[in-house]
Amino acid sequence: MSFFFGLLLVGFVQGCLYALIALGYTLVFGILQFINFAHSDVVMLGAWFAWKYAQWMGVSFSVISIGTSLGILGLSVLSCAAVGFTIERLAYRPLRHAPRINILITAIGVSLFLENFTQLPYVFGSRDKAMPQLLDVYAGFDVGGVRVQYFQIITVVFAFALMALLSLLVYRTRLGRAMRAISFDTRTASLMGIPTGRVIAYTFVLGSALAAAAGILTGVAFGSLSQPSSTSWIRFGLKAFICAVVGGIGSIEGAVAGGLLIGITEQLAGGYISSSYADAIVFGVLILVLMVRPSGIFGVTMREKV
Amino acid sequence: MKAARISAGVGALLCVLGFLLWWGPDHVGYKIALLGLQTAWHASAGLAWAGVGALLMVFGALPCLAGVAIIRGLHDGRLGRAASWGAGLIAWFGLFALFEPREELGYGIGLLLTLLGAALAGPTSIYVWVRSRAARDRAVASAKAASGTLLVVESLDVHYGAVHALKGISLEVQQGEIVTLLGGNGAGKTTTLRALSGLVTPSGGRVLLEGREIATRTGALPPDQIVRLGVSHAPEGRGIFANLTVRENLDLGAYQRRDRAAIARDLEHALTLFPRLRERLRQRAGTLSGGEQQMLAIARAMLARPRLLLLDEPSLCLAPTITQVIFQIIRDINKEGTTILLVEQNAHQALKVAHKGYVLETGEIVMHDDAKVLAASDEVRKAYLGVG
Ligand SMILES: Nc1ncnc2c1ncn2[C@@H]1O[C@H](COP(=O)(O)OP(=O)(O)O)[C@@H](O)[C@H]1O
Ligand SMILES: [Mg+2]
Repeated sequence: MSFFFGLLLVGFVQGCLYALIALGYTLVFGILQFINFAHSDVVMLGAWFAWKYAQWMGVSFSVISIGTSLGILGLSVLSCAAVGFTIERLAYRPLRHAPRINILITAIGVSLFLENFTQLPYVFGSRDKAMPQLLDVYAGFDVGGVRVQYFQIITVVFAFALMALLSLLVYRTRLGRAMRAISFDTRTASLMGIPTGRVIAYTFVLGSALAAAAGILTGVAFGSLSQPSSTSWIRFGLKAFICAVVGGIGSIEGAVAGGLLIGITEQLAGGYISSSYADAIVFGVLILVLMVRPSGIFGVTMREKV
Repeated sequence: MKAARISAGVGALLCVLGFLLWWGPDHVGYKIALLGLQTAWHASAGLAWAGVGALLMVFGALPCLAGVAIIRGLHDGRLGRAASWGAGLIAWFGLFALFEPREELGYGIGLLLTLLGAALAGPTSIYVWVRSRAARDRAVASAKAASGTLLVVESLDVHYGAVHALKGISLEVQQGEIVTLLGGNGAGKTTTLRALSGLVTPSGGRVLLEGREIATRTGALPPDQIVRLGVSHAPEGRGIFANLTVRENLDLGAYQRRDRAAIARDLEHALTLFPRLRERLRQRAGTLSGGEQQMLAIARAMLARPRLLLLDEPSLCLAPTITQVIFQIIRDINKEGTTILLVEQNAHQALKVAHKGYVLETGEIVMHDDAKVLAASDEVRKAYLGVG
């Protein structure tokens, strides 16, 4: 039984990280009806920025104070937010009225650019690196034979706090109202006096910040970073994208539900069946859900977005 | 104004930054400063991309802000200019503090920055506050004083690709009037309104709002800025956000406004005009009937507190009794001082409430006159009133 709960815990934590990333896909899709393929690269950038800042601050690998950890976290989240903003401004905004396929191809281009540019020796380099332990990931306690790490608790609390903040923002604030209006009808939203371009930029900023947080937490949990263009980043982003689709792309609740569902399924499948089939099973879940509910768990109607 | 606001912001930022440098927990300030130094080192390594990277760094934002403040300051009043120059200089100064690797000096400069930032942010915030109040009072006064021609459209052309939808139409709307634009399907009525609210850019001619150009061949102001100038457009097909509640739709109408008390008053007023909406405030707008949606569209447009209200076929697909209610309310809104440009196919009703009318046919104005004259003219009676 403790084996089961152990898997459940790990899956839940993993699911929270997927959910954070899935939110970015879902926010952008809700507003622009396009899939931001460069999103998984922002996750990668988040983790690598943290690595770079830790290096520059001369952080040693053993002892780091909370202040420095938070500083590094904050800086790389901010940097990713800036990157998200820049991508939207330079790559997507000029194509606002172009056919959707153009934006899609551009997104793939942006993704390739980020993966390869960041491999330059003066950026992040093309090798895997050890991630500084911003927190002690091994400390923890046992509950009935299940090892619970403080880091897992922090990850879950942090992720849920971010998701709660996001849904407050979307459902309770002026900006959120504007986002939902744009997702329903951009033209009419602009007639309300909403500066649509700016609100769209904010959406990218938000999504990128969440992705960065997920990237850093993942890097710290693993203790090492795959090189920027590694397929493990792409696979990570792809799974988060599947979470968004399973939950119903465009829906915030859906992204969270999908993230947890996929995260837990993946772990249970890996533990009980075979870790080499875990990915296949995740894709199986995707196919099953889409057969039963083509628009995802929470995707009730197509117009119900963001 | 903007410059003062920015310099207040920069001042506040400096305050925080200086405080971090000087007293930061865990020497964060100092570490951030080191980061700045490293960034600069990379930038000066002669690699162009590192320069771009450095700009992207958080501290790259400081000189940028200062630059913006200085440029803005050149266009602004004397005090704003002085404040932004000051902020700019301090920002540069702050940058040097970041390059300074010796701890003591870094902390000393940090303290200095805190004091300077506070000295700058305090007075400028007060200045901004006073100025913005004065500006609001002035705006209210000038809106009261303004009279005469509100909107002028001069030989406006609009193309949709190869389709020539408007062929050089001209019209004028005086302050306080209801002007109606009549015409059959595809005449170009909706296109006219779209050009007025910035949704399409004209291919010729221009649109003037109180003498100010809002759309010309070379470009139109974006819709949100036109809303800010006091033009509110209730679009064809109502444009209700079905996924939001009625209340949220109404709130969006007041998106540009910050005067909460006045918004609450206007909301109350709108709900008195449309009591049906009050009962349905928390309901999804998509569940409203057609008539209620039209009421919501008008109420929402009113909440922007427009000087010019553009209504696109408010009576479309409505039962006759509801149509009566809507036209009565259009008249009431006008009596309260809002100028209205009313697009209609229901010429009979529109000419009853309007002061003046224009008739549009395939993108050209074929007739314009007082509403009474139009209602009596043979052509209009034949073509639009089903008499003849
Ligand atoms: N988005 C568009 N693309 C191409 N042609 C359009 C578009 N919108 C309107 N038109 C054309 O412009 C002309 C005027 O349309 P419109 O302004 O909607 O007329 P009305 O509102 O008077 O019915 C019509 O011939 C219509 O077919
Ligand atoms: Mg029309």
